[in-house]
Amino acid sequence: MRKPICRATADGSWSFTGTLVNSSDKNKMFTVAIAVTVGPAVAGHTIITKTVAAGKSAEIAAPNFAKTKDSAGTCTPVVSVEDAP
Amino acid sequence: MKKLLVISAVVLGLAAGPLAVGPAFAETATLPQDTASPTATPSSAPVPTTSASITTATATAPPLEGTEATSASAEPTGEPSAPGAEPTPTEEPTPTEEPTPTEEPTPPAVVVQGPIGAKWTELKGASGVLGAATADQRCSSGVCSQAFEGGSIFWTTATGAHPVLRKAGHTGPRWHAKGGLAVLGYPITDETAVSGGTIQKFSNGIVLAWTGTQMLEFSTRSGIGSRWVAAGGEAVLGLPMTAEVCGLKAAGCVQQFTKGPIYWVRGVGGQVVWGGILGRWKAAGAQNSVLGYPVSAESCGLPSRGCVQRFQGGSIYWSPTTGAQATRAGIGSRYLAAGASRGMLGYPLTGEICGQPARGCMQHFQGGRIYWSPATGAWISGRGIVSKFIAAGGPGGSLGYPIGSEHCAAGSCAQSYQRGDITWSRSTGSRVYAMSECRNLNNGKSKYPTYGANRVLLTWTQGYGQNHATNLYCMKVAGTYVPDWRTDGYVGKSGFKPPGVPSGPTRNLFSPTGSFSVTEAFGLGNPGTKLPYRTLNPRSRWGGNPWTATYNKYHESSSWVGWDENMWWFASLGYYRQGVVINYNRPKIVQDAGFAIFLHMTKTPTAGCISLDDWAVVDYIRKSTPGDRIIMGTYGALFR
Repeated sequence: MRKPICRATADGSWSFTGTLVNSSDKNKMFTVAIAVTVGPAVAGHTIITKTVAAGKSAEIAAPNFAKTKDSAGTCTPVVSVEDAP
Repeated sequence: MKKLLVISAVVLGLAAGPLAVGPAFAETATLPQDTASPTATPSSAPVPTTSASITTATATAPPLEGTEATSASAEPTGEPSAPGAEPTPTEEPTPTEEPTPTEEPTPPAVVVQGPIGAKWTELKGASGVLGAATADQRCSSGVCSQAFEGGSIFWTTATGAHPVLRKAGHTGPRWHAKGGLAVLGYPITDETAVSGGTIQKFSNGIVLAWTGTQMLEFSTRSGIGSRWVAAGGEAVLGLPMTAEVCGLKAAGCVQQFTKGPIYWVRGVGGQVVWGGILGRWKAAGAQNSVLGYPVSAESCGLPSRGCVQRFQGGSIYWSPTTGAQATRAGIGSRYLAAGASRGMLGYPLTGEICGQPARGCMQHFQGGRIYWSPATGAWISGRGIVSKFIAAGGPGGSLGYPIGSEHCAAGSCAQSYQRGDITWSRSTGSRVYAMSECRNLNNGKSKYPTYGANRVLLTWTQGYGQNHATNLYCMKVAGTYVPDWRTDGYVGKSGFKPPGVPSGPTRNLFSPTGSFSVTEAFGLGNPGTKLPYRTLNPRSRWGGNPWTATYNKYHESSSWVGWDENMWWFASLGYYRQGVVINYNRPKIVQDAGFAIFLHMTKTPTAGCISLDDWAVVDYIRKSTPGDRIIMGTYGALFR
């Protein structure tokens, strides 16, 4: 994944964008799990599943997937890749 | 005519058996006199062939009082006339020579017969030490006797015939000098040679013993004498070597016999002490020592041909290889409780060695040691552990005294001390453990049970609202929990909920209090564990949505719904790279009481889990077995 961006607005609304790049010669299924944590607590999360053809890339976005009291928090995406079915 | 009458009397006496005063009648006093016979003499008093002895006796005995002397040659020489035959008229009567008026009558012969006669004959009759009989046999109250020139012979059915000599031997003259029958009673043995002297016993319980240099007298009815008899008398203990000496501690008495002394004290009685046990007892101070008087006979037949004797203040054990050593007081009681010489300790190798730290004592045994102190009592340290204990400084070291005996199970042993523990196993050897809260699992100070778990992780904070925790991994060795390691870590950021209060949703960040089993582990690769291990994948979820079928359970999904935990996400960030399920609120699940309580990596405050350093989690997983437990809460909630 390239250019992952996870931002919160001042009122604590979190959004995520990024680009999935498949540089292999096989179709791949990407799973992107994104969670915002405040300390140990998970304030919000989302999961994005997208198949990217071999040698291709794809934009992903998750608007307003988490809500915190303010912009404080940690947004962490986790990407996993599997061969596409 | 007179001679014929005497001859007739002798012949009649032979036919009728012993005379009325003889022992043969005495032993059947209730039988009619005419039915008694020498052969009725009981076998307990061996009697030679009666006819022979009587014949011999009558042939040599002095004449019976009141009868004329007779002899074998006194057989009538004149041919009796045939009955009814008339004297030949032509025959001139031969003038019969009249006895000279001045001739004294021969004293009548004294008959010596029956068992007394047999004994007399055995002693060479009139030519022996007894000489000729001087009186007839007399019987009274079942005791028959006959006086001889050199002493007397007494006979009863129970004891047989035995002489007391007037001048010959040693005991007979003393008997006569001491008052004879009236004082000492009749002899119940001959004067018998015993190693070092002679001995003779009398019916009043008196024993006269000649030691070669002195005559000693004691009663078999005294405390010491009765014990001498019970112990086997002269055959076992030999002759007395001293007279009884009293005035010992507590008014006790002692008499020395050839093989050992007999000690007596009121309330205990007399006991023999001898051999190695005697030596040890005397070396300790005998009756004046803490051991006091013997209270039992020596008891042998112990393992390795050992013996033991009990004393007022302890016991002395002896074996051929260890010699004799005393055990007493707390150490002695512990030794006895452990099976004494039949137990793991075997025989004592030393006496009690006091002067140890904190006014303690210890004693060496074949199989280990027993340590005692006023504060801790007496406890056993077996061979496998005691060397480590000594290396650690013994009771004066960091561990202090044992507070329990070594106990072993499944090839391992453990022992607890005042300030730590030592374990031993054949595979790992021995190991010292400092004092820890693991001990609370052994001594009932833990409020939560372990249910026999092989290992228990104790996780506690110092109070509520705190999340920095101490984690102590306890392992059970021979039934004793000892610390494997201790490390810090974290629990729920909000701290622990009190016992019995649900921790609730993870978003509240509370950890539950209690004792929870551990039955499965998870992560990104099995590090090697006996627990069922689940390798996570991108669909791994742990249900966090109450009133759904997956609440507080592992399941897989391509989505990430509500309060479910995405285990893959947590694993990818390191938290769940390795983890263990803590069975809080499962397998019986209460909805919304709490879920996903794990032990996991990444040591930071959690949403309710326990987090440790990575090494600790891996080590925990590798060593865990199903049924292990995690006991968690505040210190006050866990321990009494």
